[in-house]
Amino acid sequence: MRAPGRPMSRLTRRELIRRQVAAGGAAAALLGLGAEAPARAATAGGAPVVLTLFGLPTRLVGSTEITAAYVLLLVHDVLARPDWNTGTPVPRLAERWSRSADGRSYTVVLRPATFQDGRPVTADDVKFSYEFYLHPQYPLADEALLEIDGAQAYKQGRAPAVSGITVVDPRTVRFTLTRRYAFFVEGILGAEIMPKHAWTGVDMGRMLEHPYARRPVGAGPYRLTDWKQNDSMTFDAFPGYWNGRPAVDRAVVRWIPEPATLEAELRAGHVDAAVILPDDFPAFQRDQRVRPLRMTAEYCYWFGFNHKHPFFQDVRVRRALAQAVDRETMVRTLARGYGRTVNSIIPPQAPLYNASLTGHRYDPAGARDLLREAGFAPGPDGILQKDGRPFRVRYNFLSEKRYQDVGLVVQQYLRDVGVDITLGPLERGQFFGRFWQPANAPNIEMVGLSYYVLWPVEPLQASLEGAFLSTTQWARNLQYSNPEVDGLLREAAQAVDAGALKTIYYRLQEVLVNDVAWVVLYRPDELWALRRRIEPPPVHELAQLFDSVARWHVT
Amino acid sequence: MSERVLPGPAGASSGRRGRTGPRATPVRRLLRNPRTVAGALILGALGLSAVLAPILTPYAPDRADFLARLAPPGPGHLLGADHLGRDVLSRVLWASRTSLLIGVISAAVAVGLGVIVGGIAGYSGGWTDSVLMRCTDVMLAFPVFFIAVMFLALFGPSIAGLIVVLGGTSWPPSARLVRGEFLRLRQLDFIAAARALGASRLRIMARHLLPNVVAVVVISVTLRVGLAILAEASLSYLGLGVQPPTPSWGNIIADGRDYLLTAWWVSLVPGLFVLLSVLAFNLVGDGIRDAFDPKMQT
Amino acid sequence: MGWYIVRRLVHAVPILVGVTVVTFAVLAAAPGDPVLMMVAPEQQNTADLAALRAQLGLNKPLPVQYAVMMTNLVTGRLRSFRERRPVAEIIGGALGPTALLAGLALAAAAIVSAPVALVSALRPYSALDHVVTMFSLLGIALPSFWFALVLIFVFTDRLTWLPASGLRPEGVAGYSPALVWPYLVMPTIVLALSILPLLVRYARSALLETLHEEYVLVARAKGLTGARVLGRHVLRNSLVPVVTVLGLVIPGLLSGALVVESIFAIPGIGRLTVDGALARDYPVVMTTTVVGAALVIVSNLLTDVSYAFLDPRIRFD
Repeated sequence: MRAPGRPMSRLTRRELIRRQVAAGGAAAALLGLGAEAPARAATAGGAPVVLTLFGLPTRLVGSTEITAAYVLLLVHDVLARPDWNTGTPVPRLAERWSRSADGRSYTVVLRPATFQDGRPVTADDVKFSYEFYLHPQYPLADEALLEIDGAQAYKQGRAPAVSGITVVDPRTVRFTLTRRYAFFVEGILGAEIMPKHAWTGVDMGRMLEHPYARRPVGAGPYRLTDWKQNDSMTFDAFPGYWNGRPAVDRAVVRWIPEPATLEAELRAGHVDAAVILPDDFPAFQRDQRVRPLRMTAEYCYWFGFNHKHPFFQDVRVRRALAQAVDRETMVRTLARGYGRTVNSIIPPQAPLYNASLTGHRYDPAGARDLLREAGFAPGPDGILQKDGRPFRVRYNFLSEKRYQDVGLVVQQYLRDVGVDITLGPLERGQFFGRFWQPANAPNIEMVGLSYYVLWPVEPLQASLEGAFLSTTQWARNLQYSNPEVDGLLREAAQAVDAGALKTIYYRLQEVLVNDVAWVVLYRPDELWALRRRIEPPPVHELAQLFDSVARWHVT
Repeated sequence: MSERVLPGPAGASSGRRGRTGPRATPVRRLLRNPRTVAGALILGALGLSAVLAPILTPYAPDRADFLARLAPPGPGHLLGADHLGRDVLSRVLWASRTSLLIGVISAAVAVGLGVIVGGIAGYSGGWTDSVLMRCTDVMLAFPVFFIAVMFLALFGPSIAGLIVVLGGTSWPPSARLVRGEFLRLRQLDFIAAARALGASRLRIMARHLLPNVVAVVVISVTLRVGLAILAEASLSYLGLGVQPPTPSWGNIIADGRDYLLTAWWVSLVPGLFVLLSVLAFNLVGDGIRDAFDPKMQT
Repeated sequence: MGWYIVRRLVHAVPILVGVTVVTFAVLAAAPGDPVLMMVAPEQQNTADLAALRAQLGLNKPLPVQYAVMMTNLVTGRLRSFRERRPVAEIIGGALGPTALLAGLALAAAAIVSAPVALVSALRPYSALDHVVTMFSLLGIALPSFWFALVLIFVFTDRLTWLPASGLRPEGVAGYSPALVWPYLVMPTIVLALSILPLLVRYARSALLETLHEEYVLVARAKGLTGARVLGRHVLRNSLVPVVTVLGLVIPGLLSGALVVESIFAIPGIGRLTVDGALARDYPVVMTTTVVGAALVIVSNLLTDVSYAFLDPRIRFD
């Protein structure tokens, strides 16, 4: 053991003071240096516009992150995409396209457009991009793209190229499908076009290590010029964009995790666009420095059941639980009124949303009746019982505050009708890694989650199939298998025209509500505020806001 | 904590085996110290209210009254209501059970482990000592919070997990302390006498050495509890503490942080409880240490 | 002295190896699959999970994985699971901000705590001492994130004097002090305040010891005035325990940095660790833990070395 405490012989007091002064002086110098630091360094063309997101993507190639989808809207463009409001196809990199008589072949003519490195967008680039997304080693598979003739064989490594994509001339591409497909524009024309020459020498097994993965080159309005992982991404305008030079020269997307910090920065002017908590939104509506923006969220909250569980097999029980929950009050309590109850996962603004569906009304008495019909009777402690077995189930969810709150409210309502649910939050890794897997399906009882539908960026068909088609993972997790639903989804893919599709989708939504595949709760609003100097065109969802950055009017 | 800096406060108590005679004075000193008494009273009040929570609370802690959302303190809700309309007072009292439990047990685990490791190392010396001290060094090298975060993020948060993590990461200082004490004590005559009389190693450690480090151990535990309570609060802020719906002071504070300026009571009340309990534990721990250290007799 | 440092560094190697083994064991035992974390739930039935797993080397037996990871770690070729970029690059970028913040906070806390602790120790149990002790205890018990949010409300929201996030203005490269200092004010205050109370308490205890040593009594008995006793004997000796306790609070700094980085959106090591663990990015977790452990070892070593430097008669075991 050391023995401190005896007088030091070497270090004199003078030396000591000298050291302390030196240290203090350095600190003072640091603090005294520099006058008022400017809030933003001015760049050519004015201060950059700073947007914030709830996270930043970790990768831009082969990514399934929502944040990547938003950011890629700035960098890339697609051949065509449905209009954000009406759903009618809007040509983008494609100037026009025509369909063959048998409906299986589409000839697409490209407009004269250039990539951000100056090279023109050609049919070769189109074919390359689609083959990239269909490559055996590309980590994701797109059901819509597999409708292209020869895509399946190429994906399985049995063919060297996709036979269904033909380069007719440098500005014309022909897509040949395996059969008539109702979602050609939404599902197939919506893939980002990448330059073939930028990907030279790529080893598809290690595509993320290629320089392109960190600095993608696209045909969109903005070029990614700086990327500080998990901190910020900087985008500079591409003057040669086919739709005209973007109005905003430089856009920065930042991630600030703490909501209070974010709101303070917005008020102080250090960021230009930020999401606002519902309780704080009224204050922002009154604040002269900012412009409130109330949009619809791109997800809805829902809870579901294991359809093979003895209790939940009976549709009366499922209906009872759906009726036991007061969704209107839920919106008022959890979202302070900023949201709307919905009966379908399809976004309300989509033309194919069935607005005539009434869904399940809040009716606790009716719920108790249904449960009684189903054979349940109140036990000694008030909890319903059937054959001596109490109605006590586990309700698992992702351990984030918003899902906890939904779960707590659902728990309270269900308790009022005699159903006792035990809340089981699961951390992300456990939830997606262990719990939410088909192999674990027998152990799932109830689950509460949200579902993103990024229409029109992604086709509705994919979202619906992903949730309810009996062969896809989510349906298997909940052991949901409804032949009528499967049949309608198959029919939809083959629908001859928009009218037929609408009929099929309307019927599908009706079936899903009556069968209570999920209890869809509500779709919150996406509340944002922008600094006054920013004036975006009218937008109603976040993806659209990002898509519109090039057209923001900034003073 | 101060273990590394101060020599064992039992400096004057070395060699004493019994609980008679000079031991009475430290207790009297304890009682004469107003701060220690205050701390003990606060702890008593906290403990009692935690135990009596089912009787004292006006509402069930998870009863949500949607109409009373974010109600300010008033007649219906003495200390206000949270964003789901749950009574803050009720939740905080129930949370006392969880937080105090985690604090006390993890501190006991930490110090217990420390006593075992340090005791064996200090008494055995030689190769055993070396190996055990290397292990202690490895644990000391881990930034404690990092491990806690990593462990909880990987295994998922739970009360048991929290106790394991908090207890399992803070034993090194106690180990070092106890080892130091044992090293010092084992040289003394009374130990040699016991060994000459044929006492086994275990018997010597248990009956002769351990009682002399009791004061040190008790101080360690009281001081660690405060740290454990604070750690749980910070981990809850990161989402890795006790999971709702089970209330803990930490997660009530975390719940209220979106409303820090609009509904400040939600975070403030549990924050005050954290403050009080940490304060009280520290006061008591300090008091015990001062009472047992004869040098503090000015 | 030189040999002592070398010996300590040599000792550090098995400790670091021990750290990697424990970390790897925890990672291996933890539930959650990194591959599943990287693929969105909606895509998991279509994604080629087996290929991804092979790409990341997760299909090999555990000891092989450990060996591969260690080799890559040491040669700097270890790549993050999520970004497929070398972890060295990722951490290198994050280390700067954390080091800057922690260094400033430590300096600030040391500068403030030294005189406070000294004054407190000179007059123990006086009114002043009680006030200091109370404030220290209050400071220890105060959650730092609450205090941070209050500061942000006052200085960013209401007064708009200071920015609340990041380390530098948009579009600026490099960290020139003139531009960076406003961003550091609040985070440094919060971080410094999180270790200050503990530092004051430790230093006060240590100083109390020093001041009561017999030599002080003897010096006084010899008739030396208070100031001279203080200056010549106490001040120098008091440095030793204060320097020791500085080393004790460094791990506390690292953990405080975690919370501060999250609130003030500073892209440092703290955030990287939490994100890495939550996303099961094993290489990132392993590297940050090793770096953290190395920092603790180095800070302990520096403390002990400066200890010896200040008091040359100290013997080492």
